[in-house]
Amino acid sequence: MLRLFAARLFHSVLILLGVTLVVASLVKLIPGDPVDVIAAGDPGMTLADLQVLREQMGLTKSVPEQFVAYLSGALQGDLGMSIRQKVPVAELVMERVPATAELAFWATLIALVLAVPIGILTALRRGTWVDYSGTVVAVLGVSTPGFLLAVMLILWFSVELRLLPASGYRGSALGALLSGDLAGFGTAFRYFILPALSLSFVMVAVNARLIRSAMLEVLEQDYITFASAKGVPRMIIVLRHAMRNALLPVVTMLGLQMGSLLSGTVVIENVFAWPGIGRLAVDAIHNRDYAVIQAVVLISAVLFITINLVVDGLYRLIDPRVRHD
Amino acid sequence: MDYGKIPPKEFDALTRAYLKQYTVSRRGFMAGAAALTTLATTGLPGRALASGGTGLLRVGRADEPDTLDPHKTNLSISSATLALIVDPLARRDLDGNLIPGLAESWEFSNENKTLTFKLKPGVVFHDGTPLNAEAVAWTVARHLDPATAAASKSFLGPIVNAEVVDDMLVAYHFKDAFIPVWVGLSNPYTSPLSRKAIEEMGDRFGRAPVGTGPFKAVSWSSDRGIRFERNENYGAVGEVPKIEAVEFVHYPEDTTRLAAFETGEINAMFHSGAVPVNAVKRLKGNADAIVLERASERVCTLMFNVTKTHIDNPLIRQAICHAIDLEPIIAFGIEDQAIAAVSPVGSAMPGFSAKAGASGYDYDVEKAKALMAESGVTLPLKLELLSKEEPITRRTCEVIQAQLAEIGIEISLGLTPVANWIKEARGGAGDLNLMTYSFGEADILFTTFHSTGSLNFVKQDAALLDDKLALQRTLADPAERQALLDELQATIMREAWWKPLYEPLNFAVVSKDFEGAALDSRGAIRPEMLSKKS
Repeated sequence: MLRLFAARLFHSVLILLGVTLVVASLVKLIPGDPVDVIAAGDPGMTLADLQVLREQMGLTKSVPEQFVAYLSGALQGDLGMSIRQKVPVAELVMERVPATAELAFWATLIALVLAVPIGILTALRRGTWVDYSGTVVAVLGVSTPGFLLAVMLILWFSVELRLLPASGYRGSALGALLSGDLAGFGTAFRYFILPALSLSFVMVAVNARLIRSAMLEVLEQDYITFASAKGVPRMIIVLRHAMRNALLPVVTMLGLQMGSLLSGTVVIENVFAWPGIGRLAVDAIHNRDYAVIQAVVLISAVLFITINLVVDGLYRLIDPRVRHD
Repeated sequence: MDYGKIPPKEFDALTRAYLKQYTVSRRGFMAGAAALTTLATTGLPGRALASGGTGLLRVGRADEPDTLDPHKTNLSISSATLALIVDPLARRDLDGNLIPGLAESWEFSNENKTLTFKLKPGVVFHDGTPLNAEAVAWTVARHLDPATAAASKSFLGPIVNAEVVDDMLVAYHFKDAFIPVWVGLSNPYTSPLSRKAIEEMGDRFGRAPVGTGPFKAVSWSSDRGIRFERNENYGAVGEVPKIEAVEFVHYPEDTTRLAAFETGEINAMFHSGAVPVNAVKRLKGNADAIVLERASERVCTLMFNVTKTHIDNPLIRQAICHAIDLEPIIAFGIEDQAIAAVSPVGSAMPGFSAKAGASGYDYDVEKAKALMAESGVTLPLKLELLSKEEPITRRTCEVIQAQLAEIGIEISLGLTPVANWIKEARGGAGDLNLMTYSFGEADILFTTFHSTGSLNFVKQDAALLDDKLALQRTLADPAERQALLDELQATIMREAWWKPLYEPLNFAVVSKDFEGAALDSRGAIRPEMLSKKS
């Protein structure tokens, strides 16, 4: 087990190194640099002024020189300084990671809470209106763009019904819950509902269909028939025997969905003015803030790899048959 | 005219007149008057009700500052934010008149190359350190220090240094007598800063600046935005604000910002495009909103790249100018929230030439067709129009595309993010480029037409304008300089190097819970003048 974990960690480091290299090269391919952005907002600058600024920002160095400097800094925990905000990038990113991570957590939880019963019900009621309704939800979920759903939710729940806030973030709901502050949880959670719903809709659709298919397959297995023949109650068969096996592909899918969840936050965080790394990434790309772009991608890669390591662990927990040498 | 020989009092009057001209122009005044009419029902600007004394103003904005260290930024959103927490030595009132800031008086001497300020007594920075001549001189020295790499240094003008005369007297020494001195010295960028705070905080100062302004910086976080609270010790400088606090919240999406206003999460929107033009009509119909508007210092213009085949032909450039009808462009491009531009320099900017329009080419499709035929070009003529990708620009380009199709020109649009577009245009790409610039002075012509200008996308022969563009920078006689600026603007219009399209208006919105709202010349509401209805 330890050997396996060490090997996975080693692979992860290689992946991170590759990601860093690719991103460092790609950001230089984006046309324009931070000085072009500054010049766009300050017509008083001459071409000579722009050149002085480029030299001050270290943009006149070659790409390999910039990459080596970045890497040596990153290994010491220094992700550089934000060109635009003039503060350490690590500080900017770490300030925003909790908001994004918790949004992803609630979105995943909402997706599972909705997808599991829908998936099971549509499998058990195959060919009925329940099944067809599930299909409609799935098609809508996959085909509705996140930003459109987000705007519709704001217009309906915030502007029309005045039930939920249109935007913003009021601290960690999870933190309040864990500390027993129910009033604080209620206040903070209201701000999570709309962005988390927007993010989770597509996950609900995909996972519900996945659970349905897996349930249909499992329900036709011999051991389910045997359990029925033994007189085991239907509820026990579904929840204890069938669902446990049907969840295996969902767990794998959840790990993979983290990637799309992180990219989804880029859009959703902008719509909901959510102070996470998705919004930071958009601002950084807009302003060609290279150090911030690299840091956001690096942190996203770390999150993605970590989540998939956890998913691997969960997989072993759920299905003891799974063993790695 | 030798400005060193003018008596100091006359020179002082000239500098004030320049600042006034800088702020208010013919159309600016008209738009300002319209705004005041709007205000008639809510109270005159600057006359906040004495009642109230509490309240939080939450302002939704489309952008956020990079840093609040006045020496390390040149973004307008940063300058607008800084105006709440720092005070320059002298400031502008709502109509652009120069009034005392931290200095209670000043006088010119030494052939008008020295400007000596007498500071107001009893003023303290937000951290409790006293404002004195030493603090002012130290701030100037930091601003000028190459180690600071100050992005806003040019606002000090041709300054040599600042000298402490006595505890409350500080002298600014300039290389030359400098008429536009107040343009920079009334700007937040040049405000005195707390030396103690800067030395203690280092780079962190930009996140928690310490000035003397009506509000003091309390926090700046990614989740809550920027929070300023009332400076209770402001009495030595001016009237203590009536509202308790101001919060600036960044909403990148227009839809969300509007929803936040309509649901009461924020109670104002101003600064830097915070009010989307396509929402102005809707907001004007909102009974809970006060919508203010005023002319801005921006111009949207079509630029011809004369290094390109066909565009190097003046007949084709003139034909394009004649084919463009500004009315539908303003109606569909910017939802009627602009006025037609008649010169490369905006009408709200000093140096604007009202006569320049007469040298241009007005809308006349038949004349445009005739010019195309006279040019001998084979139709359809395919041209590329480049600009930055954003809704107003896109709509404007699409209307131009449709209008030019009528005279046989097929336009392909290349709309990309701003940095990409700037790089391409600077490199000589695109037959046509569409740009909206924002600048406070006719010297924008240097940047956009001089061969060293960073935004010269026309790329005309340097010999045609370079000398005159450089000369206008040195002329101290306002009339002489205006004559040269008139000539330059007329030339640009006559040569059809630019087709100026429109000047967008500035908008601000505040909830009717507040009184005393007025737009200043920079297009901002001043929170220190607001009070909340009890």
